[in-house]
Amino acid sequence: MKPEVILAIGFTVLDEVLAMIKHVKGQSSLTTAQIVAMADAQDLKNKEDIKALLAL
Amino acid sequence: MTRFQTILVLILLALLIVGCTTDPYRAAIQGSSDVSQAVSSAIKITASYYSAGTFNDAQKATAAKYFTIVTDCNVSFRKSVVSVHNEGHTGVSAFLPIADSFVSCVRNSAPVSADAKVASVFKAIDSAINGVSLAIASAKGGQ
Repeated sequence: MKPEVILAIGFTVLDEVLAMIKHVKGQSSLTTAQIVAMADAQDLKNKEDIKALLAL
Repeated sequence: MTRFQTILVLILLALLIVGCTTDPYRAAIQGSSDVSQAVSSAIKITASYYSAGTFNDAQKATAAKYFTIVTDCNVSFRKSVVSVHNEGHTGVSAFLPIADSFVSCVRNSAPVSADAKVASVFKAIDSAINGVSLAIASAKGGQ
């Protein structure tokens, strides 16, 4: 695998690690109802992203 | 790349354990939200793998099927948790069986992959799912 490809994947994974930290820390300032709404919206987005993944 | 995913799993578990000062209802909802976020991350990592040629079409399709099943099971889990909460239940014992059903829902429907590369993408999501029960069981609140 080319170094630039390894770097690209590495940056994607690193971005997602940071996104996970931001997500978990961000929940502390939200009410439970707000977290429910956020998770509902995320699941809808995930469904769309899965369709896009399959279309690649 | 498995090293990065191991870091992701460890961070998720550490944050779940750190966040164990909440009530069982909130713990269940936060756990469900964490699973949604883990799926979102796994989709992006899978797309990156596919674009780089690390995943082929079959591996991408297996991953997509897994993400779909986890998302459907997670939506059902969250609805059940909110429903039980609205019925007035507050204790750990009210929410743990729902979390167990969530785990069973995924295990009974999700594709099993012997492919190490595909399994590594599932790992972070599996940890998030298993962390839901852990977070509920560790939550403060009634029985």
